[in-house]
Amino acid sequence: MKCLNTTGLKLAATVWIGAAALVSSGPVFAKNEVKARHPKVIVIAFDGMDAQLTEKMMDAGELPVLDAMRKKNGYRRLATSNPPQTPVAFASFINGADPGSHGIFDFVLRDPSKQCVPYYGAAETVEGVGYVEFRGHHLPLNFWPFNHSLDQTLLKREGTPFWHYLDQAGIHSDFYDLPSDYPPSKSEFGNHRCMAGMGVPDLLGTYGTYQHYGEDDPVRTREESGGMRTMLFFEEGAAKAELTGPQDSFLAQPVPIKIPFTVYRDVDSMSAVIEIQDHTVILNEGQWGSWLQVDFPLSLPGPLPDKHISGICRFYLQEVAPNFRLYVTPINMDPSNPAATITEPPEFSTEVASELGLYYTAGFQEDHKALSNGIFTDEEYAAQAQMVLDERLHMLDYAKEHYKDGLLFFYFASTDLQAHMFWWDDPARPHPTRSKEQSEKYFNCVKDLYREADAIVAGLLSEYGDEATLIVMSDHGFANFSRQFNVNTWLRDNGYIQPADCTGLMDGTVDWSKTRAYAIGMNGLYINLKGRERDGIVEPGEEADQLMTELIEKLKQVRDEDGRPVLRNVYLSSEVYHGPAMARAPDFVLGYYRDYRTSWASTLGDMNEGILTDNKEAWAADHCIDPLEVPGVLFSNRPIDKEDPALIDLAPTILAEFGLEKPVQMTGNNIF
Amino acid sequence: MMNMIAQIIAWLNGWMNALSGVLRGPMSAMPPWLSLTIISSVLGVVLLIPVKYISPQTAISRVRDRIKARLLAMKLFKDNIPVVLKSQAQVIIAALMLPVYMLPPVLVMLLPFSLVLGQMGVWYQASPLDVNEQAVITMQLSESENSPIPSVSLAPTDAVNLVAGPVRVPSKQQVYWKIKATRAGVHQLQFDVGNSRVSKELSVGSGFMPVSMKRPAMHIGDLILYPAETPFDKDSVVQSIEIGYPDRDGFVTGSDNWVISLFVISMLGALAVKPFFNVKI
Repeated sequence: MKCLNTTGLKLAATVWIGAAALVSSGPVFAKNEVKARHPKVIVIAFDGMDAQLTEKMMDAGELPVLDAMRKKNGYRRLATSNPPQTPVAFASFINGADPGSHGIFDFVLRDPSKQCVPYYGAAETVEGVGYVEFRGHHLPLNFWPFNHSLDQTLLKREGTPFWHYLDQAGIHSDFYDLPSDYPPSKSEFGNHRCMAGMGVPDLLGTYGTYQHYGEDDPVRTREESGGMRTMLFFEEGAAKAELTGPQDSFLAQPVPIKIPFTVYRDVDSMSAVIEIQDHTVILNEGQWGSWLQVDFPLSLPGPLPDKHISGICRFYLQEVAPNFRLYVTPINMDPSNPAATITEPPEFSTEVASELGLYYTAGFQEDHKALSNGIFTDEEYAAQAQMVLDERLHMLDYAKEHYKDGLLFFYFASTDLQAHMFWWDDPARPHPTRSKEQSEKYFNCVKDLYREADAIVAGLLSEYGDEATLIVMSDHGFANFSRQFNVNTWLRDNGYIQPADCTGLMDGTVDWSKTRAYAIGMNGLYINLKGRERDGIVEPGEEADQLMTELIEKLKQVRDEDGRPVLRNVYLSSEVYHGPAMARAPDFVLGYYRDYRTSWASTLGDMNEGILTDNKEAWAADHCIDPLEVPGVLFSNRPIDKEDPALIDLAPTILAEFGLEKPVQMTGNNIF
Repeated sequence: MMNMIAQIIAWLNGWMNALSGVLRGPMSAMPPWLSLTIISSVLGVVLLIPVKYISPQTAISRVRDRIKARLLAMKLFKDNIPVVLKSQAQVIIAALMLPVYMLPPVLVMLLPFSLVLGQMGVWYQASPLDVNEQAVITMQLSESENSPIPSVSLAPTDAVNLVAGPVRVPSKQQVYWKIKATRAGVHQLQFDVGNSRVSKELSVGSGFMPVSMKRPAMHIGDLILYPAETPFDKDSVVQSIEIGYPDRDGFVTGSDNWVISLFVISMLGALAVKPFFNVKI
């Protein structure tokens, strides 16, 4: 009895002491919650922010905040990737190593087993295997015992992203609009959130397909690069049309899902009403509507209920009369109910949408194709790009509000996609599509963006001061693009592609049994290597080496009509890339001088007449040239010690800021 | 006849609106779920009164006793299939009788209950516009299809900015505007239509407030659904003006969900007090 009593007393005492300890430790826990658990590192990426222009504007006092950072030893030119393309550059940033580590070598790569069929370098869609055919439908059953596989998109980036080490260490990281991460890679420990950026398709599975309706558009819907045009016919002030959605993929013969809508116009007030599903959109001429959710039903047979996918789009009433013209943005995935995973964790996009409303989810948001195809005027493109920027600035506010500690990464595409269309820094040369005055006027849009970037950085500095390490970066710079090099035409005319009258790599006119080299992508050039290419003929070893030496010599000799050299360098990938993901690498990387680039036709294997021709597109600036020509920028609120920092240095730098060691596969080094 | 019923409903709506006006202060002060719970519970209790005095309580009691007896028979003679089957049939018949007996109170309460539902819809169906939020206004005119639309305009006000419109659609005899709310409060938007001027109530604000989605015509259905404003005369050029307010969020008191909540809570309220009122349902 005595023993029992003693035990009971001990137990009571233990419980009491434990409870007291808990109570007394309460404030301690609360205090810890208030205090940030980890350092703060904020990375702001301005895609394509050019070092030369930035320096010029800083010298002129137009970027006071960035200039102040420069004066405190917080600025360097940032060496970009080779080639300087956004997917390549950001994959190198993510891995802290060159493209040999991640396998993304170009926007466009080729499949050697299909004798150079091109595909998007950063992701690949794999068709599902197996289905049950039932009443005109193909139904994939991805469960036992059928185990059919569904169509899926695979991220082609290899290697370990640097955030994995943060995730593992319990350090939070938030990424907004990150390129080269679609589909977003999984967070193993739940401390990583990411909204995928460049690479996310629209609901039609493209990188942006606008739809245009006009009284003078073709009677039958005409597809063009990046869009569709359809004629509208008004009867008593009303016209009926259809919005084209994704393919009804359960049908044995898939057809696009079409959503009918009606347009009523009032010529007196120069306005219109658009009725689509349960939405009524009222627009005056020149006005943009808000984001709308549009429901696309995927048909299923018989008693099975239809599946639905949700898309979002905005209407823009360009003209009411005399020629009614209506533009519809590419149908983006609905962030509040996405048809595919666009964020990690998947609910991240929904959380953002519940607070901010609907927003662009496709990787390319500025509709440069609409400008290139003459749907937009320069002014309209500038306005649309400004809307995108405003939306992203709201998202930056959201990002800051939900950021406590760890890493915050935020990406702006505007500096890139506006520069592609508005950059022109050589008034002595004629712009492909604009007068001198106009090209100067629109180049100012790019400068305005740089001023906006300066203001964004000012806001961050005033909000976080020295509390956070701020890194402002760009993945590459920019240059005029007035002359295009038809690489495949050059290869054909020099006997490397046979026969002499062939017209394209994909049109069946090439004799692969006599073709020794070909070009695919923005900067890639390949040897038709035996054992690697399906129809390869060049023996690996001496023959291939000789051919490479010969090609490099000859390519460096290429001159424009006025005697200017075209290629600053031709890089051998075996010399510039290192790592385990070399299998898809081109054999050469073409490094152009400013003003030159691979021609539009050559990118996908076509051969136009003439080796060097004028670029006549509105897309009059580019960066897919020699990396030495287009360095990016690097700013920080901390002094930068490294004299020649590169993109690959940023991952080890960020890890070091959190006290983490550089993993062995990273080849970059801490910049501080 | 229909016109007379419509007139009566419009007259009753006037009284209901006056009552609603008295409750407006307390309703606005409490969270929507609380006001909905209170109103639904009171409604459940009130509904018991006609059930008690108009329904044949003795007959209901008898039917319920019969059901109990048949259920007991089924339990006692569960091995006797003919008895079980006969009892089951009688239970079903008796159960069908109960709604028949409830019909008189239901018919009596149909109109008042509909009027109450209409008033509750004004509070719970839609959210007022936030300041800077946009909405579409749709005016329905009375002329026949494709006849010319008279001159229409929204009178300038500091409560809203005109974003787009008016868009006249003769084939539907409709006129559309898009507005952006600029000032919180309950406002009267004025429209000039031909030589006459009509108005429509607009609610703007972030709090819980009544929202009149539509100023209706003299149609019975619309009068019940949209009771808050004086309806347009049958011969008015304007037949209705509707504002596209956003739906109200919320699992219990959100748009449409509030009706389910009302039925569940009022039912529970009625069942809870039924023994005290000695009512057989």
